[in-house]
Amino acid sequence: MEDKYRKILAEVVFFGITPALAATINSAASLSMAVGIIFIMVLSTIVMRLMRKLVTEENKVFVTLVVTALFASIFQMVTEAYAMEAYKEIGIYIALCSINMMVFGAAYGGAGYEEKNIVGRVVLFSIVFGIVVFAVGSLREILGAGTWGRLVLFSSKAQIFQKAPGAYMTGAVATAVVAFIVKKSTKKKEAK
Amino acid sequence: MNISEIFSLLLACIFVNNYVLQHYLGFDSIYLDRKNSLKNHGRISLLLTIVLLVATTIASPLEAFVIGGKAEWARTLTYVLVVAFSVFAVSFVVKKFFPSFLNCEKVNVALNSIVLGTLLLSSSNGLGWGASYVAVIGTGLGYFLVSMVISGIGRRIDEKAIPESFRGVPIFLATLAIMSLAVYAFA
Repeated sequence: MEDKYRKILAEVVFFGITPALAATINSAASLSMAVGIIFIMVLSTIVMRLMRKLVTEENKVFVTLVVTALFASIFQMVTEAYAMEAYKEIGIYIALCSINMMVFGAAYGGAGYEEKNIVGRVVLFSIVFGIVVFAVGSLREILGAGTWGRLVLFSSKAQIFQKAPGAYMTGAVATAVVAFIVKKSTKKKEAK
Repeated sequence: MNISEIFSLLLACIFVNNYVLQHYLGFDSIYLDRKNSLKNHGRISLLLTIVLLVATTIASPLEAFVIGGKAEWARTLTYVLVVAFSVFAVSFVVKKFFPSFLNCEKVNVALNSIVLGTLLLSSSNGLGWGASYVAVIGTGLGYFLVSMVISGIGRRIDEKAIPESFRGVPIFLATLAIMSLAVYAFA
């Protein structure tokens, strides 16, 4: 990964984390959301990339919104049909992925001519983001419910981690860890 | 709806059920605008409320007569189109008749998850037309409340006193966590 992409990774994680925070009550819901974001982001970027010759500057925003909303709807319907439990938990937040700044930014960039290998980078970004979302969900479940999936880890639990304040605090720690890793790896590369 | 119901719904949307602090909606836009003046935050919140009012006016009959019956699969796509149309219509009117009001960040408002989120939450909570309008006004006021507090500390979250890894986004999220905790006490 090039340095400039390492530097913006922490902010990219932040702008994508809006629907993810709501859907990270437990590891199963966060895994569903991670898969959803990867699906919507990658496919809408590919479609916008293929359509870039048909889309003009004036209607680029509008077309991008429609394309991302279309893939969000598809993922919503698939989740509703095959994973009802996950759908109940992540509900409307799948729909919000369509206007998420990270998803929209990737699809919007896909329609441009500046970036040459945007699809490859979007795939990489979305996988990294999916890992962060799953880590946040797991941490919230372990601290808030004392479990991880079907494993019971503690009998004591801090339920605040399953509510909004806990979500923001875990999000803060996750973005700080990402920023720390980015800083360390950049410094190591500069030293070489 | 009687006056006491309207008042309690309004207070709920501003404090207890604040969409930014309790439903994670729109905080990314607040972060982007954190260095704006208080006056600009007020203008953005007002613009957001107007967009929400227009979007609710279009979405409510669509939900009642079209989507709610046979076309639930089209809810997300329809709502995104309604939001996009409302944002472009409002920004066109603002630019045409009130050019000095704001350098209209139409994309920013369009991408503000609070607009789509409010419509979807109103629909999933089964709020009627009247209640939806009250919720929309409460949402605008709640958004202004949070952005006003953030504008007060906006310049400080990049200060060197904060550890480098925690500067910017992480400390902003930690601030929201504390605010959310304060509001959570009302629930």
